Amino acid sequence: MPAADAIMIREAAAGYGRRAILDGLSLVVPEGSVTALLGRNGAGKSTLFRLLLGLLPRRRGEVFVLGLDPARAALAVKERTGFVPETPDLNPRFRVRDAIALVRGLRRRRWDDAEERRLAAVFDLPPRARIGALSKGMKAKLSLLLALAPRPDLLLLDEPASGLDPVVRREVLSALVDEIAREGRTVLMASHRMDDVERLADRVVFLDGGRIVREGPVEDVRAEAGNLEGVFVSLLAPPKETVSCEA
Amino acid sequence: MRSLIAKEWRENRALILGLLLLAPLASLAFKALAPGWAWRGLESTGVLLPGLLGLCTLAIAADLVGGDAGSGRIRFLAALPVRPATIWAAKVAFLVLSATLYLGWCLAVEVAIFHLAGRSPAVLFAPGAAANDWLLLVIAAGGAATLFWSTLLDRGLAAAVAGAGTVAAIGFCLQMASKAGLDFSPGSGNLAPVAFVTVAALLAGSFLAFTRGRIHLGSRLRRALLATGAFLLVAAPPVAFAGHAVLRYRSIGPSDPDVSLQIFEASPHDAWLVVYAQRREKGPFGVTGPFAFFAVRTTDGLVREIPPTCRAPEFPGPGKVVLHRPESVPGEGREMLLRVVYDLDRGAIESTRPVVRPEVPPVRYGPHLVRFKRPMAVVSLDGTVQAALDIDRVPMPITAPWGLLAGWWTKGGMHYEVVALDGGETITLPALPFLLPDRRDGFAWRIEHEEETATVLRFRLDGSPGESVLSGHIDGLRTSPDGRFSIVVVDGRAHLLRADADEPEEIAGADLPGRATGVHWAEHRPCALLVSRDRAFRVTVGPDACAVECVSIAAGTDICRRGLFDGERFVVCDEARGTLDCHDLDGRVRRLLPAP
Amino acid sequence: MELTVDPGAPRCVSEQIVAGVRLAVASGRARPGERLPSVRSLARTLLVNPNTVARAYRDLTRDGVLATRLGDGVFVAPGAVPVCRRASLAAVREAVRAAVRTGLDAGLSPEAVEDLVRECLSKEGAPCHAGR
Repeated sequence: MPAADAIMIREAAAGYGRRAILDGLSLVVPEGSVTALLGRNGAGKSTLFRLLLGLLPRRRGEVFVLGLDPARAALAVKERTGFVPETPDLNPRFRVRDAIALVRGLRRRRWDDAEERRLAAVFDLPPRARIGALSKGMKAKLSLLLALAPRPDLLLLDEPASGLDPVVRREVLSALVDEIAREGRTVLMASHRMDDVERLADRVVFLDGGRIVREGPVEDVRAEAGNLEGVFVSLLAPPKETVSCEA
Repeated sequence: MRSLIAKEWRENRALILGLLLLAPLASLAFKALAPGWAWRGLESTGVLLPGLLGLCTLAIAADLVGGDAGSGRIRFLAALPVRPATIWAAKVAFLVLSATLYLGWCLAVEVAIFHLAGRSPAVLFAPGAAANDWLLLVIAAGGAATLFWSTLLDRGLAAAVAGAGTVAAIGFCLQMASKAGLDFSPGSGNLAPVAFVTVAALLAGSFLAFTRGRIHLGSRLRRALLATGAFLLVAAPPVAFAGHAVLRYRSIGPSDPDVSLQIFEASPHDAWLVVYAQRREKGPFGVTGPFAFFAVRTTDGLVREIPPTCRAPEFPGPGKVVLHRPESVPGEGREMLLRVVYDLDRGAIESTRPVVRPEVPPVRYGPHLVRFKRPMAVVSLDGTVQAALDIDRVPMPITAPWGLLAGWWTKGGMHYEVVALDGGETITLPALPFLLPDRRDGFAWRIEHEEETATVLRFRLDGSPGESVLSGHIDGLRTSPDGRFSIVVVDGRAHLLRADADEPEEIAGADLPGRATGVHWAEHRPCALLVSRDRAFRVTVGPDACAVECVSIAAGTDICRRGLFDGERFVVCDEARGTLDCHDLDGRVRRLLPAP
Repeated sequence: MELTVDPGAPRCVSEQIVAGVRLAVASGRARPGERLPSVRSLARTLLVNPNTVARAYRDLTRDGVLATRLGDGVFVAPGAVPVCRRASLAAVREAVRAAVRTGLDAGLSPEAVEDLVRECLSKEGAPCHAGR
């Protein structure tokens, strides 16, 4: 397995109970790339993230994250990975500084205090505010801070800017651009915002039916239908009945 | 780890502050409502403190895992580089820490309240308070059980209820075990191992369900299976071991060395003995009382385990023994007696028949079978009542041709009476309850002791004073079981007293060294063994004279030890050491029990 | 130098950056020798992947529009203006052709189209004089 791949999945299958959400999935995410994971709602993007973090057992196939098997070396994988889930599950009664203290305590080894302070200032997070009282945008920024401060090698983002107002969105994208600018970072982001994907991604990967149906560099793929949105719709929309007009 | 404990603290802060506030309020309310005994100290340490501590433990444990699992926070933790085992350990550490500190707080509050009220807080630390230590075990078990259920259910209240229910269920099981003789009372110290195993098993179940149960995915079945599996895996071996130990204690086999033995009864027909064996010491968990009955054949050492009997066994014939077993009559609430005939040769029960249980077993007297009743009456087989006596007489198996002997207990000891069958006359005897004369006007015997010497007196039943026949230092004295003969060893010389003779006869040929002599009569034969120091003689009493034979008994025989002589062998039972040895009259010793 | 990108447009982002820089140089808004924002800074401003900016800069450097001075950043190359104008010319030509085509397709006469062009020219004036 070449060391240049941040993520390497071969013919993996995973699911909950009887259902197999992912089946025969093969994916390669090169190190240092920003890869966008596109797919319909319920296609399995979140399941894929869980699989990468070792939170879901895989039924078949091989998975390597940063050269490690998440089923065996889950702790090592999580140390080097930052994950921003779609909805952060933080205790609403905690204050912002409590949540940061908790994650900092658990990720002590790689935590960068300076980076934490910088992000807290850039994001303008009020340390004493209760998480339950924060706006969606603030929560998203906090989530991002918690994932970025330990300087992860691999960043997994599940809908990082969905539902955010334009100002917060700019802040989030700005932080991501900074992150991408750093050497050696790999980003895998799932998003529905084609704009954001066009801006940030190098490569794009389409997930449908539990497997990857199209992947490639952004410029090449988007050219197939003008832009990524066109490709998304043409690739993943269900076949429509053709309506013919009787003259 | 520290940040995880801090997290738990932050999540439970409101609850803990509430509990801290509750302590003084509850204490004051307690003292206001029951001023009589709330100040006595033991009530604090017995009711208030355990109550508060139990509440604290259950309240914290109830939501410890369920709070995270039910709200999705567990998913957040699952994505962080921390082992599930560490998260679990932090939760348990927090629980233990909080409970311990809370106990300290409650105690401090009590001391302060006592102080402020002007009373001495020393009563809280009185020796009796320590007797409530077992409550700490119950609380620990409750906490572990609640944690266990919190790991399976995501609802806090349900977990607390289930936890309390689990402890109650265990208490019920212990109560059932107590009925079987095990001692699980609070002060017995047997609760500690139970609590230890319980807590360990519940924690193991919670641990396995938490770390392997994929809680962040919500799979409840998997959690439940893992938790139950771990619980059984940890709890089953100690329970099985303990159960096995108790069962082993309760079953007594012929080779078991940890018993005390007693010879119960010997068969008049053959060489069978019935021996009663009982465990010398208490068993595991204070269980007591197992006993067993064995039939031992002294000729070859064959041992049979026989069913227990509630009365002295009878021997109807060679190779058979009759045992009695009580059984409750279904539906009638009374007990009946079963007569079990056991075949000793085959080693099996031959028959079981119910008997109508008489108050007192009848006594065979000549051609009559006499039954003593309350009020006591002497009834012949033909139904005629011969005499009526007062209650509380105990029939003696010894009779004279002209009357029956009955005895009764008072403070001074046992007294005897002879009931003359014709006419119902009773004569109180100040005599030995045996060697009754054949004729009403014959001689009866009495021994009086005075310091070192004793005197054998004979007297008539008409009340005249007795005359001394023998006097000196008595080395040994024993009467035969049928009460017809007595051997008295005075100053080294053996004399035979007969019931139907007027004079004692010296037993020639038995030179005894003038030291303590054991006289052992055979159970069913007119034959006695005299053992003194390193000498032994077998005396067979004939109608006119005695035959004396010098025999050899193994050295070391304690002549005062209880033994049983059947004419051919002397069986010695060492009750304390639990051994039954057969001494043959040629000097050989064979160990019968514990069976080799 | 003002640059904007439209992620959904048919032209990919790096091409849009290239075109934008060319336009800026051609119109004189960016003079030769002027330092351009660093890859990182421009990426932050435009909110695009720095690699995309880097690729655009590489293409521009290859075309001779930009020059890198090691350790010092990216600058507008001395002979950039005519290059950009040529490229811009090609782009403008294409834009005018498309507009003329549209007008003719809509039914306007060539004279009407020419009048239209003059009208616009006079209205717009010459806001940005070609730089020396």
